[in-house]
Amino acid sequence: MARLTPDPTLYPTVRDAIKSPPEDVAYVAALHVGTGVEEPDFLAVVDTDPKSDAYGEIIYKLQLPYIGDELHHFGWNACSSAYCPNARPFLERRYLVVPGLRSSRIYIVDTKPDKRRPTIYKIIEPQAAVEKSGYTKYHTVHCGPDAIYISALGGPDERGGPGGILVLDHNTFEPLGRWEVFRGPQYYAYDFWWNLPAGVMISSEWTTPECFEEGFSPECLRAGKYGHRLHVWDLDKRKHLYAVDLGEEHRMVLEVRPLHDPTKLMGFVNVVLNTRDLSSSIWLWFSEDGRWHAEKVIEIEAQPSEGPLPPPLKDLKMVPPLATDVDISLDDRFLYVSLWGLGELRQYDITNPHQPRLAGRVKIGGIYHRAPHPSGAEASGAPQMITVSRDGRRVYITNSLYSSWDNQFYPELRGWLAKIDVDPDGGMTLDKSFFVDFGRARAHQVRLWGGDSSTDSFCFP
Amino acid sequence: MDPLFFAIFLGVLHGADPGRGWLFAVYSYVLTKDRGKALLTLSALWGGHSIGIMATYLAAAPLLGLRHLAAAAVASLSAVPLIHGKLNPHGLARPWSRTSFLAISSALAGFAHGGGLVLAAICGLSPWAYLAHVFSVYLTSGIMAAVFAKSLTALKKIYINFDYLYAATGVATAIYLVAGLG
Repeated sequence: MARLTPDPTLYPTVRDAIKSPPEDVAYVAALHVGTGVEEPDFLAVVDTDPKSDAYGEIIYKLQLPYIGDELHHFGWNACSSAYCPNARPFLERRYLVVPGLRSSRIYIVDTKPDKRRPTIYKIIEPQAAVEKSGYTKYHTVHCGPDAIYISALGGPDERGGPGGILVLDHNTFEPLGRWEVFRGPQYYAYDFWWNLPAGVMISSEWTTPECFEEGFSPECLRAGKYGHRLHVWDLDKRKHLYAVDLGEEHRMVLEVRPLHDPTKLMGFVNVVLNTRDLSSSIWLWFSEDGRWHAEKVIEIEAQPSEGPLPPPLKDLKMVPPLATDVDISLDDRFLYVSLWGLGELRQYDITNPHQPRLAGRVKIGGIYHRAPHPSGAEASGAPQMITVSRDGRRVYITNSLYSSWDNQFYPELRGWLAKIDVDPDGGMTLDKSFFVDFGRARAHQVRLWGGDSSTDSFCFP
Repeated sequence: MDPLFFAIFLGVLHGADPGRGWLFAVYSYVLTKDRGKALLTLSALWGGHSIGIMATYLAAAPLLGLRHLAAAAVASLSAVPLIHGKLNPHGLARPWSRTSFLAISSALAGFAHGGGLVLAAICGLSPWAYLAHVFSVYLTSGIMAAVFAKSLTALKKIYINFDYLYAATGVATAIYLVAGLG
């Protein structure tokens, strides 16, 4: 039956989410795909309560029944958009929707009754979702204004496209089908999010499976097969309105991050590679005069290097920064950028979103910096996936990008999860006492109990 | 129970419920800072609801003579929001829905949820009861919207699932009808 009172982990306003109690448990997508270990991927439960004896440890591993899923991103069945005026907050934030990026299987994981011992509630086998939607390679999950939305990178043949978005029923989790009624010129997919007051969705472009599953492909890059556009959609009519082209040289437009304040019609997105100078860039997308635009607001240069370089970079003698993830604190004050090439996490003050100001830097791992963790632990790989706590005081980072790309840029990568403490006025430091070693498994997205900075949409600031 | 008092009680109950429309008025104010627009949104929702229950009132007239049938209808229709809310907590409208759509969906909801039937069961087809009811809805929801436009944080504390209250009201009314206490 529906709850009598609202779920305490759903928040009416952004401010309430910021003031909510800190996370005591974190879920981490961990994979064996690409590591040579023939075992299923798993969902790790990490203790994040500083008062607990098991703080900073993996306290449980939910083993999945199949090998080869490639866990990546995941999301909740319900979030704070339940406080929007058209909805009600009497459903539970309880189930994690965990897709397999390689298998196109979707796991529904139950975090109740014991959040430290989640169980598999339901498995949506690949055939079911693929037949209903025509999409494969499921990537990002968002709880939407009327259903659960999942982005898909591949078409029915699992090699080409078009990618797009499929929709799950938010009670039964059964795939309802493809979201787009009219897709227009959109072919590549990756991430998506929305602005609810404007009734608009923004989606981004990586590439199709034939250009990412076996690794980064210079041939695909030369053939122009990595995307360089954002797409603007009518959320209500489910149709493509127009594309915003960031320019031919700006390839791999990845994480779409709106500002959390719904009265602000803008957000950020990262571009991984500028084909002219190997730099990465961060773009601000915003609405002006009823139309959506994008402007480059941060540029991060590649660094020359005479040191040992992995195969894709050997002839270049340069280390590109490879900004692969961005996240924004709930108060919309700080933007975090991971530089998976150099080995850095950067913090920018975005009080003025058009002019971000560098406010903090942390170096760990990376092809360029090769910095160890302050605890002394060796950190292979580099910061990749960013998860910011609701109060903005902690940032969790993991180091895996994608199985085959990990193997190209960081052969022998061992997964880890680190935690960064944020100074309220800006500035960050790695917590010496928090370093979770995943061994040969790779760690990807982290989701905090009660929600984090990239799970919830709000109708009220 | 005095019919007029009951009509006002139902109006205050409905008007206080954050899930029955006035949050749209707050939303409008938060986005535009325009009190006029917020009032327009509130009035559109109220207008739709008032038309919806007027239509139920008229449709229910023949039923009122058949107490047991009316009781069954009242009890089952009052449970509809509870079931519907579990199946689809988002309803027809969306955060970006236009005022005209809000008015229409509010009218549809007003007709379908059986509130008009509950009102008619206790008050008969009294125009005074109807007016007292819709007026108290408007006043209560207006006060709620004005208060919460300042800060929505307190919403979490007062927001309970009114669908249970509606279902309870429906069951109580059904019992009243069947027990012939009128």
